[in-house]
Amino acid sequence: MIATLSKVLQFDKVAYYTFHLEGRAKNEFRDFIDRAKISDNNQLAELSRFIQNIGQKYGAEEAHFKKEDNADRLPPPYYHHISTKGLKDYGLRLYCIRLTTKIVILLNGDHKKAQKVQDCPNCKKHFMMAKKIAKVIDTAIRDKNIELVGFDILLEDDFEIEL
Amino acid sequence: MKKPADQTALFQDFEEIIGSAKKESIHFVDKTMDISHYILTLLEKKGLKQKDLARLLNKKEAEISKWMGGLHNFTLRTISAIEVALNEQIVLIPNTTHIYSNVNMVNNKSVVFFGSKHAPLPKNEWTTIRKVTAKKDSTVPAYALVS
Repeated sequence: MIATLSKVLQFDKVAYYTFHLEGRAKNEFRDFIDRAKISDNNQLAELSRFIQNIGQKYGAEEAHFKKEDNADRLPPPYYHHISTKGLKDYGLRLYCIRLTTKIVILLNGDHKKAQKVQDCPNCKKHFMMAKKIAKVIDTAIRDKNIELVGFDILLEDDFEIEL
Repeated sequence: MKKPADQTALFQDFEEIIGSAKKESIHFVDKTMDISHYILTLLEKKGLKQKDLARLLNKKEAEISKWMGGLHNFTLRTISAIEVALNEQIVLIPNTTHIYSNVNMVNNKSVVFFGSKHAPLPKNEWTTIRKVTAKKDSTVPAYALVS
């Protein structure tokens, strides 16, 4: 599967990118936004403001991102447990890859319904995809097919990101 | 030769998404990020790491990391504990003494009021006028009004 990298947001301190996976109607971040708008618009808005503040005020400092294996995720706006009713919602999760303090790749996510992401029917696939993309990006940077310069991700002319 | 990634997919509706939230939600995000950023700045200023703060507060480092990640709903008890541990003010409350910075006539004497613009008292609530120390370069006595 070929993945196309695109810039989606540019702020004073951070540029955000995402991937469009071959055969899918929307890019990963757009898919997340459109689903989250319906499922929980307020959490989405809070997460968006978080992304905006990182972009405009703080930069993509490590403290703002939680490491998830070789990928990252943003903190959920809130956790919600109602264990007596058997409902668990660990908040809206957005998986991403923080490359530098100026470049972040936003991917996809959903409401996390289990303590371990591997057990969550909503988030597992997004987490696994984030890990896969992170591995490909790491290798491409090491092999100098991708270069990070300021806010830009530069790709070698004939280089394709294949997942 | 390297070329930059595609730049044609820029989001046009991002501000709209943020604008659709309750105002207090956005205010909360801004506040909590400012607080955690300030705490991190204080730690750096003091040559401390998050693990040092964890030790001072008798907490696990993972919990401190969660607080500092942003979007944490700090309780006043937590803020107080951090302030004491670091010996620094994090949350400051504006001075609420009702004194004003306008020149007014009271009983045919001119008085200068200094103070908070945020909590003005209407004149019918003024009950006591108390003389306070004038500002250093002031040519008129300063008075504080106490409700």
